[in-house]
Amino acid sequence: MAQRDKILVWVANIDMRIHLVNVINRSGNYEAIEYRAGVEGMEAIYTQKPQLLLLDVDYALPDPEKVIQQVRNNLSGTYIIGLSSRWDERKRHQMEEMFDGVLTMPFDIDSFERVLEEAKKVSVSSTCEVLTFFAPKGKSGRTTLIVNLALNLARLTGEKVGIIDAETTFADMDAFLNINPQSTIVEALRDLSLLAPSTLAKYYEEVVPNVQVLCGAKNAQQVNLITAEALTDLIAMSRRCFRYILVDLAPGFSPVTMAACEAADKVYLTTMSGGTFELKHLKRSLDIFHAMDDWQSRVECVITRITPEVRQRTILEDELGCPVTLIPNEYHLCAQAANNGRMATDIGPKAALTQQIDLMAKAIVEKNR
Amino acid sequence: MSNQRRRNEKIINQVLTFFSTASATGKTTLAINFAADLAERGYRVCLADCDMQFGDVANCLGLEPETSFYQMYEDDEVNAANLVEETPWGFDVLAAPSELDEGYLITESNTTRAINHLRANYDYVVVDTCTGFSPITMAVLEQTDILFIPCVVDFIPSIKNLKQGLDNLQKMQFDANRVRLILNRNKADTQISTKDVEGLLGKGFQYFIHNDYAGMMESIKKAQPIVLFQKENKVADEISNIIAVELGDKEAEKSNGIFSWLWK
Ligand SMILES: Nc1ncnc2c1ncn2[C@@H]1O[C@H](COP(=O)(O)OP(=O)(O)OP(=O)(O)O)[C@@H](O)[C@H]1O
Ligand SMILES: Nc1ncnc2c1ncn2[C@@H]1O[C@H](COP(=O)(O)OP(=O)(O)OP(=O)(O)O)[C@@H](O)[C@H]1O
Ligand SMILES: [Mg+2]
Ligand SMILES: [Mg+2]
Repeated sequence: MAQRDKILVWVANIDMRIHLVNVINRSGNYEAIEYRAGVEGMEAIYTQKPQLLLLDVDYALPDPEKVIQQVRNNLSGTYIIGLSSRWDERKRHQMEEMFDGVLTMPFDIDSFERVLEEAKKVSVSSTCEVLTFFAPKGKSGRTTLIVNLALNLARLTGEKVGIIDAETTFADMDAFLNINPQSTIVEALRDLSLLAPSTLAKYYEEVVPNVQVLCGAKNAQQVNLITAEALTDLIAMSRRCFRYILVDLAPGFSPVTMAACEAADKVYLTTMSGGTFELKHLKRSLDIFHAMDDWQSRVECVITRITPEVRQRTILEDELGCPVTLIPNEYHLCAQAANNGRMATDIGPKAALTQQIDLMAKAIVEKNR
Repeated sequence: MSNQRRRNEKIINQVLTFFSTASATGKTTLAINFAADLAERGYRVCLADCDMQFGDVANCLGLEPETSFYQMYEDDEVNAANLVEETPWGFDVLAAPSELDEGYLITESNTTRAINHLRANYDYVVVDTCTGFSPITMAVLEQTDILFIPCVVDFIPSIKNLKQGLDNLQKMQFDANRVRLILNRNKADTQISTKDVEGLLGKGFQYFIHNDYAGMMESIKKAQPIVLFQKENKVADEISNIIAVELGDKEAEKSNGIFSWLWK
């Protein structure tokens, strides 16, 4: 958090409220503001856009879950710390699941800062870049690209990278990584309204240090849970857990894939170069993305199984009107990696594929400096 | 309707669907060649492209149809049999829309209605789909008599997906006797043996089609079905044989006088 972050103190008792605002403001590091409206008027919070909301749990009764859910839906970047003058064990435990932290009222500035520190640890980064991979047709090489790119981004930056397998056709990130995750996107979406970023992070499975994956739905009934709205919320909250999030999607346009692209900072239209109609479909898809106001800064193309020559790339960039990344054809390396739950870039550190993915990762990181 | 040879015979009214759990397994290629081969044998055939957003049938055949499935969405009264495009190869095509936004709008019920119209007018409606159990494909499966599933055994994730897809079909109570697994691009340079795959699936492949990249590329360049222009080709032969076996089955059952599932 930057200096002098805005903090809303939403506490029922007026004396306590004024006291807490003074405690916080006396430190000189924050701008604490009293917030008086009831649950009815809570829309006003959204216009304030605080970095931190201190919420009196008793104020939010009878339904604190609903209040938190509404705040999170409207202010995905806001930390929420729960306050109470009396915590019993059970209540405290429950609230810890929902909030980014809890405090007992009244508190001194030290305990306040300690809890805030903890909350911030959960989201190591204050900014997150969401990269989604859209493909007109399947077998475009996006899952391969995503796992290798995620690994690279984590190595380059030393920061946390998340992968969301939002495939609704056949999610296979688990098979790629040869893992059997405890929980998947299905459980995360089911519980999302009750989760805080810190607890959502536990639904992700660590693959290697700093790379965590939320695997996909296993069957048709589960797939129905992945709606456009739910995925948007999941991405919004996951932003608090990672520096980069890479989203794998089913091929084609659907409410879900479009919502994921809307929620993204960068959309990579991915296709293989198979010598038939792939480019035609890529262009048709790109036309749809032209409807986004900021498509020129948001949309790029990735073409896989093609020799990454500069001249070829320039021609394609002219033709498509957006930046293009070319990923070379390394069928055996990719298949060997996926068959063994390993990363292609690990098996073939010198391979042309590895080099191109390195370059792509560097370009992503540099743009964000 | 282009093919008149069976004009006086009773219409067979069968829907043959090409479906797969992975992309690029040869659905479109096989659907086109099935349609061409069946038409050459004199049957009245319509090839319906239900890959609504990214259909490739018209692309592969070099067609630019003026009508498509989209008119089923636009107009409740229209009959799909009036939306088809005749081809020089004796079969008709009901194409997927050329515009993406049109493809996006077509519903399951539009699709069901179209397939029913076509079924009433043709011996065989050969349906190409997009990968997986999309709502449109689910509607097609409801109408399907025989389901052909081309598979490419390339790497383990896609085999797991295939297994999951077959399990889904079973859960949907799709009659296993109506499913044909085709191992396409057989003997391509992959790292997994067919035996291992069959073991994993708990099910064998009924048919095998060789890998012939050059032949397929030529077919696309020529915009012609390989079964028609390369009579000596191994893949063309294998496709024709599948059809012969399937028709043979049916002839046999017909002569036994059994009203099996084939004649529902
Ligand atoms: N750059 C590449 N060069 C050669 N083969 C590749 C490349 N990337 C992926 N492949 C191979 O292509 C196939 C599909 O790759 P992958 O599963 O990554 O694609 P996808 O777009 O996620 O496919 P799906 O539509 O099935 O989700 C795999 O056999 C993989 O090993
Ligand atoms: N037996 C074969 N040998 C060599 N290449 C083949 C064979 N069958 C199909 N192909 C090629 O594989 C590619 C994919 O085939 P096709 O487009 O028919 O698959 P699809 O299942 O319809 O794919 P999609 O899911 O993208 O619609 C095409 O380039 C096609 O020419
Ligand atoms: Mg994939
Ligand atoms: Mg196809």
